[in-house]
Amino acid sequence: MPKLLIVDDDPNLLRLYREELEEEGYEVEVAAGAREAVEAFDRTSFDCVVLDVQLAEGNGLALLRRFLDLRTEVPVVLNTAYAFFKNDFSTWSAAAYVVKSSDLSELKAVVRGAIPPKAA
Amino acid sequence: MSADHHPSDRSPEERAASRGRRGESNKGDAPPRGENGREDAAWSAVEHVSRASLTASRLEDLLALILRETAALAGADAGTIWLVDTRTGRPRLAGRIPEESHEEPSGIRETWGPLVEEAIREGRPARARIEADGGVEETVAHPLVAFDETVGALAIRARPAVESAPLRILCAQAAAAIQTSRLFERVHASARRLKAVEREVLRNEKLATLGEMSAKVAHEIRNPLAAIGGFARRIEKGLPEDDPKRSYTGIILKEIGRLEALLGEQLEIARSPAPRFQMVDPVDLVRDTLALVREEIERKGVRLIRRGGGAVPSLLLDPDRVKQVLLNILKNAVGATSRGQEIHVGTRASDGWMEIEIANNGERMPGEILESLFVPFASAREGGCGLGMAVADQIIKEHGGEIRVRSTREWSAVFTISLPIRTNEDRRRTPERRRRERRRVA
Repeated sequence: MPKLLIVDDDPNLLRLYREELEEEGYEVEVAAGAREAVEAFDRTSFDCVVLDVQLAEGNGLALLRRFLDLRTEVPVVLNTAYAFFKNDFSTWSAAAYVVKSSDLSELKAVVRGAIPPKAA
Repeated sequence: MSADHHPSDRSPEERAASRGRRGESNKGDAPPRGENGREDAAWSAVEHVSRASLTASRLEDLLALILRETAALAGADAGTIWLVDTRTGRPRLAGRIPEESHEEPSGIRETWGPLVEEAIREGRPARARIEADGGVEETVAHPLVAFDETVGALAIRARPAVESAPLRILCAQAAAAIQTSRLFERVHASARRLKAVEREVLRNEKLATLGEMSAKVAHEIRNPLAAIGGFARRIEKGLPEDDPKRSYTGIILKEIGRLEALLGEQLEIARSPAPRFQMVDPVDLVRDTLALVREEIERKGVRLIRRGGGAVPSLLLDPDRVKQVLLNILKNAVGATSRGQEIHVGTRASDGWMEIEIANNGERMPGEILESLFVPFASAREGGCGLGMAVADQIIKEHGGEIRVRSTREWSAVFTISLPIRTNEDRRRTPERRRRERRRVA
C-alpha cells in the first residue's frame, strides 16, 4: 500500500485529506507543522508527500528543499491556497502543484500520477 | 543712496576729483568735501548692496539694485547687467538702466553685446571709448566672477567711466548673489525630486500591501472553504441516490463552487498578469470608451467636446486595460460635472508620443486629493475604494507611458495620458501574430 505524508496546518483539512485518500487505498500519515513533518519523513519511507506551501510555523518551501535534500526520489506535491506560485513550481523541483479546492479529484489524480508504478 | 550723490548732480570738479584719485595723484587740489563724499557714497553703496543680498528674495531685484548703485557710483547714465545662461553659455540680459528706455532688445544686444561677451570670455574688464561732444564717453564691461566661474557681466557707460575698488566689490557681490541663487535653485530642485521619489515609494508600498492583503484574504477563506466543501462532498457520498437531503448538499456544493471561482478571479486581479499587447488605433479606443459613458453624459445634460488633431498612428497596447483607464477617468469626470458643464476629450500625436487628454470643468478636487490621486487608498471617495487611479497609473506605466493630472483656471481637472509611439512594433510581435497580420492584409 503506497504511503503518503500530508503536511498542512489546518486540522480540518488534514482530517478530510486523510479520510478521502485512505478511501483511495493509501496509507496516510499527517503532520500539522514543519518539525513534525521532518520527523515523520525521517522515520518512514513515503511514496509521496503533499505539502502546503504556506504553513503557520515554518516556510513550506524551505521544508520542500529539506525533503529533496534528504531523499530526492520522493515526489512532493505542493498544495496551496495561492494560485500565483503556480508558474514557478517547476523551478522548485516539486512534482506538481495543486491549488486547494473542496473538490479533491485534482489532488487525487496528481498524487496517483506522481507515484512511480512499481510502488502503486 | 542720497540724492546729492546722484550722477547728474555731480559737478565737473567732482569728476576731476575722482579722476585724480584714481590716478593716485591726489595732492589735495580737489575739494576735501568732494573726496570724502565720494568715499562715503562708495561705502554706503557697498553696505546697501550687502544688506540687500541678505534680504532680497528675487535675484532680479537684487541685480537691478546692484546695477543702479554701481552706475550711480560711477556716474554712469546707462548700464546693463547680464547672466550667463547655464545651458547655452551665452549672456542673457537681466536688467538695465534707465529702465524706461524704449530701445529694442536686439538694439541692446548690439550696443552692449560685444563688450559684454569679451569681458566674459577674457575674464577681465573690457572697454570701449567714444569721442562724443564735450568729452570722451567710455563703456566698461566687468565680468562677474564667483568661485572661479564667470556667471555674468555688468556694463556701464559713463563719461569718463571709473574703475575703483568699490566698483569691483559691487561686481563681486553681484557674482556671489547670482551663484547663491543658482545653488539655492539646485537645492530646491533636489528637494522637489526627493518629494516625487517619496510619493513613488509610498505608492509602491501601498500596492505591495494590497497584494499581500488579497493573498492573505484568499488564503484565510480558501482553507475553510475547502474543508466545508470537502466534508459536504463526503456527506453527499454517504447518502442514498434518492435521499431528499441530496438537494441540500447540492446547494452547499454549488455555492462553494461559486465562491471558489470568485476567489480565483480575485487572485487573478491581485496578481495582475502581463498585459496582452496588440496594435490598436487609439482614436477607435477613445471612441469605443466614450460610447460606454455617452448615455450617462446625455442624461446629465453635460456637454461632451471631442477634439482630435490629425492622423494618429496605431499603438501597441492592451486595449482592454487602456479602456479601463479611460473609462475610470471619464466616469470621474461625469461624476464631477452637472448640467451645462463640459467634458473635453482630445487626442493628438507629436514627438513620438500619443496624448489623450480628458478635462472637465465640474467640481474641483481639493489640492491634496489631486496631488495624491495615484496613491492607493489616498483619494477614496464615497462609494469608491481609492484604487481606480492607482491601477490606472500602473496600467499606463506598463505601457511605457505616463499619466498626469493638473488643474487650471478653466478646467477643474485635466488628465493627460502619454503613450509612446513605437517605431519598432514589429519586434514586439510574435512571429505567429505577424503571419496572421500579413494574412489579414493579403
